[in-house]
Amino acid sequence: MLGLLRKIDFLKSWFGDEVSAAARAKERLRIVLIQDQSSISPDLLEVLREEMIGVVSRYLEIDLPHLEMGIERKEESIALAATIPIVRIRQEGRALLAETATETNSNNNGMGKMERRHRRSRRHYR
Amino acid sequence: MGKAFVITSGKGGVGKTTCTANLGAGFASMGKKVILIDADIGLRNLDLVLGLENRIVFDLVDVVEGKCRSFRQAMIKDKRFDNLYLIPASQSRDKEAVTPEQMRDLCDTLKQEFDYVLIDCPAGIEHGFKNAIAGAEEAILVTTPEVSAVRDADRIIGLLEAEEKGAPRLILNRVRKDMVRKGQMMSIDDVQEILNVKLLGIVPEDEAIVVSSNKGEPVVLNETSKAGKAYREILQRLESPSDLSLLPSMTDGSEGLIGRLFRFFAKAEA
Ligand SMILES: Nc1ncnc2c1ncn2[C@@H]1O[C@H](COP(=O)(O)OP(=O)(O)OP(=O)(O)O)[C@@H](O)[C@H]1O
Ligand SMILES: [Mg+2]
Repeated sequence: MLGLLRKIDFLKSWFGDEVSAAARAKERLRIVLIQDQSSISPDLLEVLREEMIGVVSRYLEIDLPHLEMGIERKEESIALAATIPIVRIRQEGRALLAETATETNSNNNGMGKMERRHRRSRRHYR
Repeated sequence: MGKAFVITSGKGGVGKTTCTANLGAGFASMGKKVILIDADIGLRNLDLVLGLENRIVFDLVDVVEGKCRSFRQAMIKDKRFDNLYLIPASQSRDKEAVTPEQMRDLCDTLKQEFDYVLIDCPAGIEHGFKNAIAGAEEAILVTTPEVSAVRDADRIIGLLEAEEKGAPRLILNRVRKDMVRKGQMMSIDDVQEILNVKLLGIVPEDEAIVVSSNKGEPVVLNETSKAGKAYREILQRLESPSDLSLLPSMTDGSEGLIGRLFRFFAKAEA
């Protein structure tokens, strides 16, 4: 009987119980590597900011001092998030919007929140 | 024209030097002309693992600084093979004493004469790493199945990519079948899935490695050891990359349910 119990313990160590250490390691690594791989340098962020201001300013007059832009980390994804307060819509912008309004359902209400999911998993393009 | 490989890892102590010594001795035993470069300036070790520590006169820094007439003056001939040579690291200088350009030039010169140039990379991702990879066309990435080593290996993959070295091939070192079977250690599949690079080989945890480094005799020459066998398989794969029959054998203990049950009942009966 005791022998059998020992065998059961032995079985448990083979099949169940301790599967967690390796599985935990793998899961933790998966998440930490997403973070490692998505680190965006301040230089790149600055270039992005400048170019985005350029594009948006063609259409909208923006409240530059209150512009916020940064990387947001969530559990499993990384987002480039920008909040761009608008002072007014430029004349050129209105004209252009009117032109394209028929094709695309363009949305030009007040605050523009741009969010782009940036999921970098090197795995997919390496 | 020979080929230059760098053996690298990111994390320290995972087995780069052991691997360089064994691949070098292994290629030499196959009749190839091989030169090893210890690029771990300040922490010279490859000489010791090969048992060549008493023969050093000039070193890598002397070569690039032109203190000796040519690399030939600094290279040490192995005791066992006269087609195996080592250019030792300098012990008293620091890593900034060499530049990537100098390493590239040296490797180009060596490739004219040797079939294989193997570069033992220091741990880390700084200057020493950049030097070590500069002259190599391919990287061999060594890691153990531990979280920190695998994470650092992933960093190295990214850096190699940035330096346009392409994807390295992976050696998974110090694998313990018993622990993998119990789910205590990540398996080969786990690590490969995370890193997503080609597997070059699996080296088990083996006491014979410790014994052989203590004696200064590479384990690859030990016919009976498990690690020696693993290194010989890796050498075959490096020699003929297209031979599919040489794919790494999954001897990590993923023995399969039937095998496990069979062994269990065999034991229960005894
Ligand atoms: N498969 C193995 N089984 C048992 N011991 C091993 C194995 N591989 C390496 N070792 C031992 O691990 C230690 C570190 O190995 P080694 O010096 O080759 O690592 P390294 O990556 O070159 O280290 P460093 O980053 O300090 O240069 C040594 O003592 C070596 O004998
Ligand atoms: Mg070393």
